[in-house]
Amino acid sequence: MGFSFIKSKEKSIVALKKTWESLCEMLPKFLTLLLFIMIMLSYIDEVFISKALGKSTGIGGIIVSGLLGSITLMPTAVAYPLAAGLLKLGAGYAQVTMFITTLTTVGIVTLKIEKDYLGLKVTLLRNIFSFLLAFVNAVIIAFIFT
Amino acid sequence: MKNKSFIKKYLALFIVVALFIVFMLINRDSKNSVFTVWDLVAMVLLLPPTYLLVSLLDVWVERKTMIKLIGNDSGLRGVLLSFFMGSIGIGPLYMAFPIMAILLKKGASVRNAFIFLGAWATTKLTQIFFEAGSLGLKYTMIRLLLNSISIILISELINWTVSKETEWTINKSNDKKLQSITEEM
Repeated sequence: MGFSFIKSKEKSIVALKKTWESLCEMLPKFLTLLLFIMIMLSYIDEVFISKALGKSTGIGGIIVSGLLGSITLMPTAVAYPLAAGLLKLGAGYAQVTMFITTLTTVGIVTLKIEKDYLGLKVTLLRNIFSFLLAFVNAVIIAFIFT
Repeated sequence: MKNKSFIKKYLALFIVVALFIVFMLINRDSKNSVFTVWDLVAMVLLLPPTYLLVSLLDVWVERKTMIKLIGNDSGLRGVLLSFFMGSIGIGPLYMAFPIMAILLKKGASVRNAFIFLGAWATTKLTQIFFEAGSLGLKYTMIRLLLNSISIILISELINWTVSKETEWTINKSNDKKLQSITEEM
């Protein structure tokens, strides 16, 4: 930003103006969404996640892990230690991989934001295929690690 | 009229804030959430830099340059560059949508834009460190390889779907808005 100001003051002011407009546009939507997620997540705790990923095995377990990963929003700094802990507790590699992959690639709660930028069709395509490929990846990883 | 749209814009927010406060009071002593107020603060703090970056890209980068770097005929170098740009991003996936929209607007190919998005989601450098630290290097490397394949498959698929439509414009309403700002200049 400082660099931009040295090069051209006018262009930088335009950039700042645009930043401000986008922020005003986005912030209310964004906050609404985040608070909504926080309310929802207060009911999904680590115990619940470890139950879903740990005890259930097989394809059903992987799909449940994927759904959990899709609806959850969690910083990866939290997710990876959690995943490592779950593996120690006896969760399957496939389930944990599915959870992590869908956590980062599929976002059900952020669908609305994504739709605003990419359109409904592409958004759905991207999320559905991300989910399917996450499943394939999870199975391959489980195959390698067990 | 203006007042009405203001109310409409913030109504959902007020409802959720109210709900949130109620829930906080009910669940005051349970500390079972994996998501804390600090995560919320951290996420909101990520917004201004993201939009600043988008605006700076919009103002500084010429369409021609972008087309040359990651446009339709950029080839393998464009693919690698898109992977790299996505990997150095910071923040959750939804932060990548506005950036991706501006890349497309500036002439990035659909394929490369979705590679950027995919890389942002799964091959992020900051994420790789956490992952290797907690799940081991071997796991991380295998996952990276598999996810890279997935990213390429998804971007090919979307590219193919979109190319059949005559006019696929990203983010129609916002784009119009951006254009009007540009015209004002």
